[in-house]
Amino acid sequence: MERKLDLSRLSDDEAKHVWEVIQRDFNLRKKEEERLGELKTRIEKEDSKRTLLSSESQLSSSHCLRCLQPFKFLLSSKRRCIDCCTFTCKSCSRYNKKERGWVCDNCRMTRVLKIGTVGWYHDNVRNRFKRFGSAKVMRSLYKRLNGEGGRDDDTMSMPDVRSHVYNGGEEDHGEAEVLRYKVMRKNKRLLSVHPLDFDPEDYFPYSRRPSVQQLQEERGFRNDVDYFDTNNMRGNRRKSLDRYNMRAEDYGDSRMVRTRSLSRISSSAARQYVDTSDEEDQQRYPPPLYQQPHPHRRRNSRASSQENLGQAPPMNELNKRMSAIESLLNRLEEKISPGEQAGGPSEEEKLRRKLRGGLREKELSSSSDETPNQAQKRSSAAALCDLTTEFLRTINATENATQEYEQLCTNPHSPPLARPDAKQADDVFRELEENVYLAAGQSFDLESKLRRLEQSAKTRFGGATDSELSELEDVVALTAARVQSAESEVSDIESKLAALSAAGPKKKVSGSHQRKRGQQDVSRNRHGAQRRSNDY
Amino acid sequence: MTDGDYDYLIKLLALGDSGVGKTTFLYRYTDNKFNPKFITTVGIDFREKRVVYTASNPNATTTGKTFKVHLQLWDTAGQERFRSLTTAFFRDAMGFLLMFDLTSQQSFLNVRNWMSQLQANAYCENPDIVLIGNKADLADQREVQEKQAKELADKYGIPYFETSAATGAEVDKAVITLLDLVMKRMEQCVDKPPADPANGNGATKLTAEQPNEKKCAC
Repeated sequence: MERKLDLSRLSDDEAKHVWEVIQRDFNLRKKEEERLGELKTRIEKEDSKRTLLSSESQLSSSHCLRCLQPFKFLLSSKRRCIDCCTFTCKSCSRYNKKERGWVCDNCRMTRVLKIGTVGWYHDNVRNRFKRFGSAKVMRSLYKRLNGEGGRDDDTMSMPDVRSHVYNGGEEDHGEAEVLRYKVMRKNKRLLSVHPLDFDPEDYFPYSRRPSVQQLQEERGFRNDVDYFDTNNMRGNRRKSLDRYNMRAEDYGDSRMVRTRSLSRISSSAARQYVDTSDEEDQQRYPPPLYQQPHPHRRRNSRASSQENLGQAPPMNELNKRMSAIESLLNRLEEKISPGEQAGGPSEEEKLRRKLRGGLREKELSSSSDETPNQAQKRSSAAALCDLTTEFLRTINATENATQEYEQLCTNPHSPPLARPDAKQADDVFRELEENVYLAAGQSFDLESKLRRLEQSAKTRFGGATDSELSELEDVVALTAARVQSAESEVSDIESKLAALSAAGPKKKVSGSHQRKRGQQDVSRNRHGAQRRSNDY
Repeated sequence: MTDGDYDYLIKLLALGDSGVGKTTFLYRYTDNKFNPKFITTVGIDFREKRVVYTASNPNATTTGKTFKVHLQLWDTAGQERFRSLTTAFFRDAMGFLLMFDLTSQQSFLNVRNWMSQLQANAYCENPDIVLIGNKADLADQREVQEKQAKELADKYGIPYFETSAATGAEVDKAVITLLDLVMKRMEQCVDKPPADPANGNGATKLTAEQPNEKKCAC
């Protein structure tokens, strides 16, 4: 229903005229709302007065509860209100012909209020359209004016535009508040530590990359949110059919939510209530994708980690390390968080952040400005280094494990040992493969997180001296480089694995590494292994 | 103008081809004046008027309740180039004065288009509408016969009036009829399910003809 509103053909004067008409309409709306509000308070006051008086049963039978005049025969007789059933005098109630009964003035006011609020009408409009007409036109006009004047407020041709938008209409105002709250919540969610962040299982499904090629593709398009989506779809397609269906629904939901919030963000940006630059958005959106709680997914990954328990202890250790890295990163993020918000500092936000920050913030405010900065910088740099070493250690572990299994895989040439182990080796090998993908996926994730940290570090220490800043930047760059090299190591391992699986004489794990196919192959191999063991 | 001393704020909107006399009609209604000059409306405008509304009753001998009503009368541009702007305001009104020019067959033919515009852009698909043939004073230039217009109005189940902004004939009556329809709907739609059009029976003879049209979609 919502059609595109094309105001480009309006001349400036025409647009100005329309703008003024809408202003008048907004004023009228505001007055109407105030009027209804007053009416409501009046009714409530009268109601409470009446409740108080009606407890005095004598009074309520002898006096009109509204004007408190005593009832007198013929002169002011009792009337029983058909709505509230209390007695009022003739002058405080009116006869309703249609219902053939008396309605006291207060109940009449209540009726008027009910009718006058026209909730049904507003509900209808809300169901059919996003917003009422003048609000829609107002938005378009604002965009148009804003677009012509550039993003800068000072160059706007109508200086009063902003204040008007802000004051105009309760509905719009409320919407803006919601918007701001949403954006703030988003910020908070990203910056603070969420229990889910510590749960390594959440990273499994996305980390099971089907192939090296796709991983690289993804690296290339990492900032493209849509690409993420299609990628997930592709990943889901590999799962069984019912799972696919479930995922497809979930996918639809999350995507809807995301586009909705995106449009909200953009609208809020147009109004400039919230300072959200595009870059921030890009940073903001991809990570939650990893962090969405997903019962189905989790069950799935738990199963695989149980497999790990039984078959590949080194892999478990690897997982542990990965989660350690995760928590490290989260801690790091936490440390830097005060700085990350410094970009768009509305006073309110600052205040709330301070409240949230608690002790840490207290420390900050008690000491001088310079020291905490440095301390934080040092700690974040140290954390970055820690992170890198952890990561490299993980890579080493992976490589060791690979070598182990390489031996194990090459062993089958010596018949007596290998044959009974063939099936197990297969499984273990598959697990290993998965874990390498996982590692790769996480390294990629880590990298993007590092990027963000780098960004926030820049913002955070904007006030620091240049040398300090560049020092820190060097550390960050170095870390990023290390992570990148680690990444390439991972892909090295992957290619090694691929070569290995191609070379393995009895193992037909295909080079394509498609999860489904891999499983099929494995089961085929299992059958084969069993057959072989039967043969012997 | 807008002190809070009224019971209901009712929003009506005039629509129709360019030059049928929407602005003049509303000017006549609110100020009881006639401006023969043609000044095209720039997109959108509105006028306000305070009226005392007396609910019509089944038995015409007694007057019903009276309410003070504040009317917001939207005036839209008929020109095509403002179309997307004006249709956006359709949803902001609860009743519609769909006007054509009795001296222009084309403006009458376009009533159908305006009807479908209304169905698509008003708050619901069957809002309260009155059909108005304006410029009734220009009898010698008349191109649309009353019978024709009446048939169309009956087809839609809406009242029809032939008005003249120049003389003021039927102008008030047309607006009050629409106001009556809107008020009836407002009363019906409060907590009662709207499927009971009998509540507002006999309000106007025209609604009685098409009781189904009285349902609102809430």
